[in-house]
Amino acid sequence: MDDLGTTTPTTLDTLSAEGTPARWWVAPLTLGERMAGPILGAACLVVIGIILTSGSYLSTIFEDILIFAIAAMGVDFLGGFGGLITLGQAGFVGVGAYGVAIAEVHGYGPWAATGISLAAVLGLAVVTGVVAVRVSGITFVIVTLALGQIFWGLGYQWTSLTSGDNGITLLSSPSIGPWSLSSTMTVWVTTFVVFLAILAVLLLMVHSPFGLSLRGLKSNERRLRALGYRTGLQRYIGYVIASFVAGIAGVLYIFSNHLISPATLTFSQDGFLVVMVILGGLGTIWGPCLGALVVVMFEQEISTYLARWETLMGVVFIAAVIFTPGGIAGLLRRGRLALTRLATARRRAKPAGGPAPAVASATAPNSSAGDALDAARTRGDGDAARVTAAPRAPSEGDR
Amino acid sequence: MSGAGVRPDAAAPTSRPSAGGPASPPTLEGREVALELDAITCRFEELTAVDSVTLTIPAGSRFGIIGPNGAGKTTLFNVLSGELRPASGTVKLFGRDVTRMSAPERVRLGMGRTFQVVRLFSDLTVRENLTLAVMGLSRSKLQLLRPWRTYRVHQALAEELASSFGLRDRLGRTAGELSHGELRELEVLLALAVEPKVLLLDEPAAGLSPAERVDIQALLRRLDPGLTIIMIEHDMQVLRGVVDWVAVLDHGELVTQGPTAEVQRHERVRELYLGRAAAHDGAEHLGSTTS
Repeated sequence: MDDLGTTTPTTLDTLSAEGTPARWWVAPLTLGERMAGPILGAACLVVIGIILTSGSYLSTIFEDILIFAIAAMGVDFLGGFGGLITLGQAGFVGVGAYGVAIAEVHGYGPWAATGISLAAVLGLAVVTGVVAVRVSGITFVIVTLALGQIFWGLGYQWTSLTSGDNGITLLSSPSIGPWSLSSTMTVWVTTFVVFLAILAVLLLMVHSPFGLSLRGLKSNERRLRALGYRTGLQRYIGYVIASFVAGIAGVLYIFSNHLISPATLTFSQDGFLVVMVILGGLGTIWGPCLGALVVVMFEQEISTYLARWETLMGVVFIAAVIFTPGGIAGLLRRGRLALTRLATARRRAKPAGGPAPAVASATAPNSSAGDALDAARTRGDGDAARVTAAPRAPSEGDR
Repeated sequence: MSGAGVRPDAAAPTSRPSAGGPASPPTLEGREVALELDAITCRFEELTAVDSVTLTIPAGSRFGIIGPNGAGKTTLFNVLSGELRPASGTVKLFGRDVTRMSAPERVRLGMGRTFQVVRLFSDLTVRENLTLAVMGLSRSKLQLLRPWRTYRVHQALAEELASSFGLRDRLGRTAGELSHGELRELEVLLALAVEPKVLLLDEPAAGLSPAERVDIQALLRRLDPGLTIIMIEHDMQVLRGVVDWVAVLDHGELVTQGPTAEVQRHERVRELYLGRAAAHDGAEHLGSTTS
């Protein structure tokens, strides 16, 4: 099939109507409301920038949030889209960090050590992936857990290489001219840039044909095979990507913390990564970043006031799973829909002498509400479909 | 796309010999053999689900497989599509031995299928379902850094498929929102999207209302005459409207095969469907739904 061919105007029209996820909820908003998102986003970036460059304790916490958010996004890529929840990603964070530290101990420069580390992560992902993707479902979870524990065991017991429980200290950081990762501010900025880059790449990937096939894999693997997809290959590529992303987080971790020990590879770290994903919003990529924010704040801030912070975090996690199954991202989505409904109702109420909202909805399925409904359905958003449902125009497909 | 082509008229039954017994194949009359099953046996531990079944199905055939529940029909389909490997025997697709090939490999060689229980991507939209299907044979399915919506040819194909069977206005809906009849249609469309030469339909009319049965029957009759269709169906009315040759399975064995009308009159078949007493009472109406 030729992928780069042209299409009919009808196809283009449909694409433009359905292809812009933002349009359906932005359409009913006023200019001020439309600008609220970008302004809020820009304000967040400024605040993050100030925090990162302040050199305060908060900036250190923020750096950890970004690093674990990177690893959690990898978990979400595989779990939220491919349906393969992995409990071994902390192992790859560890491999990334140990890779740099061990290579430096063996005389390699920081850039070479970074390259060696990433190559080691990729190599191990490629090798372990052959084993891991042979299974799916709960067996996959257990296999990845076992692989993660193997990495932890090696870090703990292979003392000649890893210094065991004491861990390894980073000897030097890479630099380009005046831009050196030995400076805390440079590390923070680098971490932030890498975080944004990985966020962008993963978002691109989940909207790619491969990302669509990952969603198909999660939805119905047997059907996907019956359409000619070698689902083992889909799983394998997804696993390697998620593991490599975790490895990048590990490299940033060692440049940020200057020490790597087996504590970073423990089962609880694997668990925290999964909690970040579930709490933030499975299948969103950006949601786990919010999950990382919550978990790291619990780990590093609330723990100073409350000894049993893990118990409290467990309660929060259970409450979140019960009351907001979509996580924080789901909560935000609901808020956004409420805002849209409010704006729509306000706009309908404005025209004096116009038709009543119900009549307008019933007689104008192509209105903004109708668009909102169709687009919401495109995105599989049942809430929107229920709330703003308008009658569909009859067509030849009706029976 | 071959699968989406409108079939002007159901292929007239060829002059095939009457069902002379389990081993009598339809006459090939110089036609290419689409599918050849040689002594296929499939076991689940002690149970022999398919027992030495031999069939030859010419290209362009409309071939039905019937039998009571547990006869081994779906197991035979799973062997044909590559989801199950037979304990013994061979499967040839257009003369090529595919017995050891996986399901995706067989799809690439021209085999499409539907399932007895509807298997779709229920949380994906109809557009996404069809796009996944049309990308099944494309190398672009492994593309990582380009949005799938920008593949215009695939999008056009997906829309063409949806339009051809009245699902165009459902493109933005998730599959889970469709009626059962639409789900069945979408499932057939997914199978057609991989441009099959042999289409396996596992009870495409199961669970449909009478009106929806008429629709699905019309859909199947409009398919490209060059497409080989093998269909499991309990509803003899639907079956009669689509296929012209039927094989009957019972307890994994091939009981008989022949033109649909003849097989309906076969005493053993009437026993299987109506029970021995009813069959001997001269029940002539093996017509409507029989299970």
